[in-house]
Amino acid sequence: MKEGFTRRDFFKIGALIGAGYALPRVIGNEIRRPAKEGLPTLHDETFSTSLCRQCPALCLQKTRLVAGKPVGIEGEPQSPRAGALCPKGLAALQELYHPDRLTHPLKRKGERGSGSWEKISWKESADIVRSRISSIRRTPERLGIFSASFGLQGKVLERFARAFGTPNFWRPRWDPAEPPLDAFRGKTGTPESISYDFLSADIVVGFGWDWLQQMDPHVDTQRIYADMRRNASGRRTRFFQLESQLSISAAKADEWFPLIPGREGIAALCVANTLVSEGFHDKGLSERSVEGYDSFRKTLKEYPPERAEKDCGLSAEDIRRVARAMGAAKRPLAITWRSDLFSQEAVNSLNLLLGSFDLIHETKNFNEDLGLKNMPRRTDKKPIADIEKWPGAVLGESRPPIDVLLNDGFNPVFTGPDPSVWKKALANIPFIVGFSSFMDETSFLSDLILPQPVSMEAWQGGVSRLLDGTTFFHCAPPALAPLYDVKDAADFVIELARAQGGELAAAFPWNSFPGFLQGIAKDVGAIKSLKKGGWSKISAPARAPLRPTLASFKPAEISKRGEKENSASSPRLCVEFPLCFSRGKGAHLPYLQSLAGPQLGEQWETWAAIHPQTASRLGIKDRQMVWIESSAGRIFVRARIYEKMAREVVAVPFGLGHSQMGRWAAGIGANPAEIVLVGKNSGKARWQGESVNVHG
Amino acid sequence: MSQIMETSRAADLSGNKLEEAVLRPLEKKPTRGQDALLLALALIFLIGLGAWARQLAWGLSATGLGVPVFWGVYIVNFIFFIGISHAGTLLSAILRIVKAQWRAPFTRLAEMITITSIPFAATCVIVDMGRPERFLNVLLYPHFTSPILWDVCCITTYIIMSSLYFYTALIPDLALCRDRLGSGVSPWRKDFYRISSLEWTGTETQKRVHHLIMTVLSIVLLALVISVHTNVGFVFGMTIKPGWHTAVIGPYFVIGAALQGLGVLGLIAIFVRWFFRLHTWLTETHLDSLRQFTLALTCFWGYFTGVEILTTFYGHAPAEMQVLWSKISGPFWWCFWGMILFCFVIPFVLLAFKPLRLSSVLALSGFSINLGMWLERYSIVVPSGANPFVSFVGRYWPSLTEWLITAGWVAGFLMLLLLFMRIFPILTVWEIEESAEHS
Amino acid sequence: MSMDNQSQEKSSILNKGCINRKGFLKAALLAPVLFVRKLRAATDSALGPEKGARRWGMVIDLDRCTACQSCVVACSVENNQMMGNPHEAAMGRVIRWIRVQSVEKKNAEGYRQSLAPMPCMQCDDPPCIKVCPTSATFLDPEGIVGQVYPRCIGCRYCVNSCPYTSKFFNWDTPSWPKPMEEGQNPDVSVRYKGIVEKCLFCHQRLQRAKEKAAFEKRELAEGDYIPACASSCPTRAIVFGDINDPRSEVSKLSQSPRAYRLLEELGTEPKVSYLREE
Repeated sequence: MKEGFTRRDFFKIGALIGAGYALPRVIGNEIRRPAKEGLPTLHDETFSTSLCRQCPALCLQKTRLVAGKPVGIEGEPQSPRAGALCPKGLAALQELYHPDRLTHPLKRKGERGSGSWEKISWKESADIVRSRISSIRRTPERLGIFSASFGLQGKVLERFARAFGTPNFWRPRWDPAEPPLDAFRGKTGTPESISYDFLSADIVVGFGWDWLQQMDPHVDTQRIYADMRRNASGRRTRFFQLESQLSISAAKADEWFPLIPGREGIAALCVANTLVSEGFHDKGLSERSVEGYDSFRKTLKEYPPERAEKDCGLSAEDIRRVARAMGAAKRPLAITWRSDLFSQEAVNSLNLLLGSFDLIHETKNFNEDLGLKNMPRRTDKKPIADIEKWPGAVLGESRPPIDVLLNDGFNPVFTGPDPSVWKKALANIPFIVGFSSFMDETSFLSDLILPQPVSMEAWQGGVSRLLDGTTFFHCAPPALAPLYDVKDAADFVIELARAQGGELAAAFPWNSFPGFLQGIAKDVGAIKSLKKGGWSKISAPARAPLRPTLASFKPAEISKRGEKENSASSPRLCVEFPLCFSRGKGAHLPYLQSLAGPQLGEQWETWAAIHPQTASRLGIKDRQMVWIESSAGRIFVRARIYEKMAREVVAVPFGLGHSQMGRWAAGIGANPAEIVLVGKNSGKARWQGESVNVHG
Repeated sequence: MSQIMETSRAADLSGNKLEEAVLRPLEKKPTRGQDALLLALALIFLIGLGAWARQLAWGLSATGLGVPVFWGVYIVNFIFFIGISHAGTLLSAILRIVKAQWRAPFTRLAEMITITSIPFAATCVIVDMGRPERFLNVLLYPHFTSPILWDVCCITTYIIMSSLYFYTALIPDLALCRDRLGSGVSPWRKDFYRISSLEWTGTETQKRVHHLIMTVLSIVLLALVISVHTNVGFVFGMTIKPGWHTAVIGPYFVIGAALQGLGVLGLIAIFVRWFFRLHTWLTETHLDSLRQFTLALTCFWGYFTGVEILTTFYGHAPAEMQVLWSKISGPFWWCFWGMILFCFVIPFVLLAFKPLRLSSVLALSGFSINLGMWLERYSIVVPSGANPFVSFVGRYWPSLTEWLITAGWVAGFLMLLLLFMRIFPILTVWEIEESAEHS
Repeated sequence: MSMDNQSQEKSSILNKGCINRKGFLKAALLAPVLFVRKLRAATDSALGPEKGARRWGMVIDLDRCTACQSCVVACSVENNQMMGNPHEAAMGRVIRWIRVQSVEKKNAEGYRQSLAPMPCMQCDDPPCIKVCPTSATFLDPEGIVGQVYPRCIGCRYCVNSCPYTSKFFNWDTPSWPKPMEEGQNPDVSVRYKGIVEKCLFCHQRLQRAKEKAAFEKRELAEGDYIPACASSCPTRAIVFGDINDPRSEVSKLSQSPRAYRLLEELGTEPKVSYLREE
């Protein structure tokens, strides 16, 4: 009984196996291979060249259109940047199709800042602006213009300011993106820009500058890094980074030295001291009579490498290591950003000591006269203040010095420094016109908002400078008709001028911005490329080395600053600048929001990176929400424990924390500009090194 | 031997009494308390269903899952219910094969638990699916290398076979119901008993065939019991994920399921014994056998756990260790140590010592084991998800929807079990009588 | 018995021992072997790479890469990826087919953080394919691991078994507020709630390139087909091509002494290689 049963069971199993054996074949390929889904056949696929205006690089884009709608974007492969685009440029379609774009002119209805607007026509808005302008025609200096957008539109606004006769034309700058220009200021003023010859250097030492994310133009910066490390000649440029956290640049460096934020100047002088004491410096330097060299040498005595331990958080050994690496190199290069004057000069002194000044060249963004031909000279009157001191100048007087303010793309109520002061100052201006594609924080405080086309929707042109100083004229026609009732600020201003008549009209012999563009294209010999979009070379790479000087080096100032800030046991703030939010723009685009912190996997929020020891001292846990407080204000951010940073530092990214800018930016994250202090004398933001309180 | 003697004596003395005790609850109108309990369970189950409906509309974003924890409480519940379902088959199949006489008063209850828990296990997987309406794709486009497909096959077979098993064992008792249940039973139930008892009259031929079928089914089910839970283990073991990819996971799951099955059986048996006043047939000696069996499995489980941890620790592969540390001292310490406490320490103490041989203590240890086994599954599924090879370490905490569905499914299972108890005899009368005859 | 007839035709082993137990045992042992071999043959021919075909691969030079994440945005635009929001980000539900992952290494030389762009590794022996119960994910003849959205049941088994965490699940219906959907790439289907998606090496571009080449009556040439991440990379750190073609740049680079593959020890045979930083 039992055995027979067992055998039968075996048969069953055999049958099962047989079925299993046959089944895979029966099912066969046809069922299992997924059905092919064909692509739609596209007869109407076209490509057009457009120009990205999100930063001064003005890269050319290749836009893919299907049925007249842009559906894809890439770098223009034939352009000087060979098809490369930074993430912001690649996200341009989201700017075009953003659901919260401004779609028509808006006039303020209620109180300023109440957020109630009335839709008006372009004609009505032109009438309003014209009447305001007419009322100050006899006191032209009461007109102020902020021109923060990139491209030749700015030149139209400048031309308007000149023709109108106002000196109050400001072009805001963005220091974290710039090299230490102030260190090169001479009798002729600060150079417009400089270019570093990274490829000829054999070691690059970065002082406190996350240059891979911050340095303009972004695309070229990435490319130059790659060529520095891997190039056809096989030579590899070494790269050291002194920075308060293992930023992206520091992670890419061969060696990283954790530095207390804001102390790059002292660190550089300690390195300089070591170079001199170990005999690495350029011996012929004193003979070449560098102005101020002797007093500089005297100052250096105060900076032995041991000083770095107390002031910079670096060991004397670290300093010696950096110094020896630089000293042993043939062509070392020290770079930093346009922070405070002392740091800029101190870091640059290393290039001077080591004779590397031929690696730094002066460049011009573009010819000053471009777009300003046949113009009356600038008025002799002085502007009310530099842009850094603008709020102070406005608030300092009982009657505001400006009656009408035209603002093309400047958003100090977000980027600061000290947004609250800007807010107060702007409140004093009787009439503000904002040109913007989005409702940003500053436009929100305007009386009239004139919606701007995104770059794809309008004629564009401008001068693009590569990192080596070569300049190109880039231009592009609109890729599509504007989606909304928008008008380019330049067109608006040209119409305004022509309607005013007289001198103003005479300064604008063109009907519109494309006409103006055509004139310039003719000047630079790019008329052929204008129609389809393209480029033409304006100038060769910069080769003029800058004259080294230490004339303005102020040792007194150094020692004062050096000794000042040792007291606080509270952590120091270090604001970092992710590429995707460079210049404080980008948080309104969801594809950029998702990029911010690849090292901590952070996205869509503002975080504060803290060293584990500091965090445990402050009783802060990973991912806990914390307040960061300075005397300027406080922000609420997510604490993230990050081992790779200097102790007693909180690093906060800049770019989020909008109160406006549409659904993907408003109310998300926090804005460190609100807690950054402003230098009393310079009016500049002190992004690095301020003491802050951190608590849960 | 003594317990068999005792059983036989009890059965001998009161064969009619046994039938009466078993049939009385089927005849009597349920008390208001019973109805209230059933209603409460039904309500919780409905809330669970509602939570699922909401999840169907919102997608799995209603859960606390994300990258890299892709599987959470639903999968934990799935293994948990499969574990519960092992009560029946394991006990009645193994014990029937080895002819352990003490099984007799437990078999019916055990099989009931199996039948009523499997649907909830199977639906857990469907609840976890992103597109549950495409469930049949598994059969339309089967891919034989997938352990999930093996699981589908195993569990389907398991459902069918254990239903057959339950039913076959039930036939003589259904006939008893048909013959003995009187006025208190509604006509449709009478019809049901009449049709389903397949004209069982208890002749020698019928008994022989019945015995043969029961033996065959026991053997098949024993293989299935092992294969089902091994396969559930394979779903994890066949991936190369740290913490999952281990050969021991198949047998470990089988042992875990068996332990949990016994735990739940002990818990429910003691409840039933108290509720239906079955002390005469479900004696202390029966419970003692169950206690010993559970204790043995607890030790087995402890052994497997130890083996797994030791192997991982000795190999010291970084990715594996990351998972292990996250359990031992990391964010998942609570479920790991909870599991050790509830699955091993508490049941061991409660079951091993003589002074603690009380039925309530057995029930307590059964509860502890079930709690511990849920934590065990959690500490298998979630920490491995949270510590992948490459990705950011993820966090996961079940959302309200997940808790509601969990509660709903547990309530649903208990509800179904109670309903079964109202329709089917709670003890296997023929088996108890048979075991009495044997001795 | 019926077994006789069957076995006479099929197998001598069965023929000899159909009566005794030994024969049965042999047959029982042999059958699974045959079954597995047949199964492998069936799956290989249906799903495996064809010999002599192109095998698309990628080399990412970490020494050139600066983690600028242009590739991430380019991929998002090309492949109609979801927008994301703070809640989804906090839950880890923002899908990006390529992401920049920090991989930390501690060795004798000290600490090194590599920031590696990670697309799908397009394994030649993909762990995700084996476990899919519905064949919704498959290896196409040119080596790209595909995903059939209409067939996927959303069990997330493949997602779990991918050692690179390169497969993604749609926890929710992605929102495309007007007029955002105007900018969707018409070549790529927009995914929906409850299914798994993954990097397909911009398969749609391969289709287009093939169509174009066929129209121009020529073979597909190197550079005709480049995924969005590679074509947009500012530093040219991502090189793409046919690794079966010994002349292609990608196959030359993948022979570099600096080349390695992520989690190579798992035997997944990824077709994405990295070049180590020096």
